[in-house]
Amino acid sequence: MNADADKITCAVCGTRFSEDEGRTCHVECPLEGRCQLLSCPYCAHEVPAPTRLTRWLSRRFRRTAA
Amino acid sequence: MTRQAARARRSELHVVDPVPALQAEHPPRRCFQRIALVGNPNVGKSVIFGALTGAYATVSNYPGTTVEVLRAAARADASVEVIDTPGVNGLTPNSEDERVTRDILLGGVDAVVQVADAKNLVRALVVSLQLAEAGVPFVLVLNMMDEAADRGLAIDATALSAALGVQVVPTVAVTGHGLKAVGEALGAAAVSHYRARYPVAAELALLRIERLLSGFPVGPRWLALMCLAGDDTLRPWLQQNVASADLVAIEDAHRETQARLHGHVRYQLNRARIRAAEELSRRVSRVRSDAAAAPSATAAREIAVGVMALAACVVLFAADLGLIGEMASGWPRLVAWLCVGAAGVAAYQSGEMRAAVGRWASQRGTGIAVLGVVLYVVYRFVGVFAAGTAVAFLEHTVFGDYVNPLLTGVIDRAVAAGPVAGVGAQATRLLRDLLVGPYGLVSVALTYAFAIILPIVSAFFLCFSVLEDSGYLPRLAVVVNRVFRGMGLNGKAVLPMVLGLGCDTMATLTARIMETRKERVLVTLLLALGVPCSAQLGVILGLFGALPIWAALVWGAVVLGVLFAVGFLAARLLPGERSDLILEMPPIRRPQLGNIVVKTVGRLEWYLKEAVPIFVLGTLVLFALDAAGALSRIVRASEPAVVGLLSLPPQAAEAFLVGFFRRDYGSAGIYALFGRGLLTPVQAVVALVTITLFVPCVANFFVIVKEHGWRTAVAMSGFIFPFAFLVGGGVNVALRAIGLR
Repeated sequence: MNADADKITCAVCGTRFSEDEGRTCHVECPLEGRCQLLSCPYCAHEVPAPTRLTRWLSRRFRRTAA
Repeated sequence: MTRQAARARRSELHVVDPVPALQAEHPPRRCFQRIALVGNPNVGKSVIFGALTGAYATVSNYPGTTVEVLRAAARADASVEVIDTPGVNGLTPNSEDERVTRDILLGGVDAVVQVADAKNLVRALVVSLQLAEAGVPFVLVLNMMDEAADRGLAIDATALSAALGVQVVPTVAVTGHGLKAVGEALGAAAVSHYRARYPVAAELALLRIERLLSGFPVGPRWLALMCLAGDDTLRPWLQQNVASADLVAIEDAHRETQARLHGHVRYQLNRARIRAAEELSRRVSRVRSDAAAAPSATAAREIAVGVMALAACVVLFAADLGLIGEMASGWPRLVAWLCVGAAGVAAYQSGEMRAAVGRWASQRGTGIAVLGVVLYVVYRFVGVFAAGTAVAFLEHTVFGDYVNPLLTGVIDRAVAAGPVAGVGAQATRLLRDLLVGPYGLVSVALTYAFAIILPIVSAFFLCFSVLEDSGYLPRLAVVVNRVFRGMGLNGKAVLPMVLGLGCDTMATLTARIMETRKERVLVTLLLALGVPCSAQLGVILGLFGALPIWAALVWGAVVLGVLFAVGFLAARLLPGERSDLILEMPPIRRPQLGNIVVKTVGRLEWYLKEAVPIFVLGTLVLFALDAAGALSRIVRASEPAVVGLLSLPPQAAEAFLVGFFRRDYGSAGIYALFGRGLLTPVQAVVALVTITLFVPCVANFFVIVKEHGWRTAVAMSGFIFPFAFLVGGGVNVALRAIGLR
């Protein structure tokens, strides 16, 4: 598994970050365990955390594009 | 001519031979053992790494991290190790990637190849300045010169080399142009003596700290700057390598500088570095005059398309307002929509058109016009199409005609057949009410979640994903920054305000990215007061689809007016400084179907997982209050405010009550009341203004407690709660005074 390919690119500032880096906001949040959003460590723009469904969709689209 | 050939030809015009550095001052070093590739993210480092090393690279996680680092032997000399470091925007770490790159440099390298995106010279020069401070010999590779040339940007590599005192190699890595010169230039890698000038207090402290940090393989100034910036990730290294007494002296210098610079040392150092990079960039780059003059034919076409789209939106908007009677329906409206669609297709197909849209979207006057067009199209898609068609089908047909009657029938038959085994008749009726009663889990919680909100937020998330993937959001931040500057909100404070349109709770957490307490408190207050979350905004847009267009205008004017007035006053009451917005503008891109689908599905999944349980919880609370007879008392107690002040039906109190759990739930309650014919347009606007300005949801409240303490959280809620009702009451009186009902 290529960790760099799995990184998320922030749509606002272009920072590439891993899921773990995006979850740092969860430590302080009352929704902690249940929130499915990640936060860009640089500008804080939020993106949904990848799930099995979105990973499957990504793979499908990547394959189609290839 | 093929595209590749054209690119090669363009690049020939601008790629020149490597520029010799000031050899006398910086004798070439040739005995390398370790070379590191350093650069901003996505600048083409990997291609240059491949060119320097060949095919075989070892991929490994950097010790103690999940960050991958590529290492390989140099093609020219197998005894030389080349390391591809993670992309960085600075060498005083703000992320794990930056920490890894910093640590690699700290461990000692013989030379660095800095790869830069020629289109973003300032961003690259910020890293160059830090490499200079680190005292590491390096060469600067200006990659993507063809794309810079496409944008009319010409960089004087000779002047840049002379200023920095290092070799500068222009390249187009994707075509291989200039790559050979990188290897040749590397032999003459040199230390740059170009320096950023920092505030006097910082420079004095640097002198003190540098003296304590000499004798390491990297420059003491770089180490001193990290200490001064309060970089905690450097602490283990310092503890290993610096004497305890010196550490205390460094801490003292850091504390004193913090006090003299009012606690903003890292920010001030960054600002100074960016200013130095900007100044150097101005000296060595210019926009080609032929590029400025060229657009005559293209620019005329771009402007024509832009004006056509704007005019079509204005005409459609005027028709919505009833100002143009003939436009209300029929072919003129169709023509106007075709014009908007044609502009969209033009922007999708033409790179020049996208570049023009990108420019317009971030400029002062045109930025507002582009925002207007975007808002109008989103409003029509979410408010009219999704809320009008999809909700009507799901709410009235699926849930109204099938799900609810089916479940009601099943449960009614069970009740009529007698008490369920082991359960009394009263308990069976209670079970019926719990599922399909006036506050039932199916008839209220699931109907609201799946029939009303889901189709609306699906449409809204789809629009948001398109905007996100196109690169519009940074431009929105820039435009909003200008609008909000007047209220005392500047720079980074704007990002959470824009991001609040996603989730207020998270946006409240992100308020900490701002330097000053004034901005943190102000943004938290404004987020809690009047910035709707994405789901609530979707429901509000959905309701506007069924209301006259003046309703949307009144709501927008009141909410923005209140935000502006409260922000303006609070900024003057709270002491503190402002900070700047520093944001890199990516180009406007063609949205990719795969990205849009994945992002929209991801957001919907998040929404369903987070919102539905809270809807169920809120409905259970309503049900329990009703069963205990407390709900009618609460409704009666709130009548002076809800009925007297806002002139709303008593049932609106229930919508406000569930608004405590989630604002979108409260908005959905108002949506349902309007759908049942219990609200006039004026009442709907009054209710929407009040619920938008209403107290933060439970999660947001607890985040405010966590960030600012109970006193601030209670004080904010204590201000917001009556304030929302007072503004709602004012809107009610004002609208009725001008004869609206």
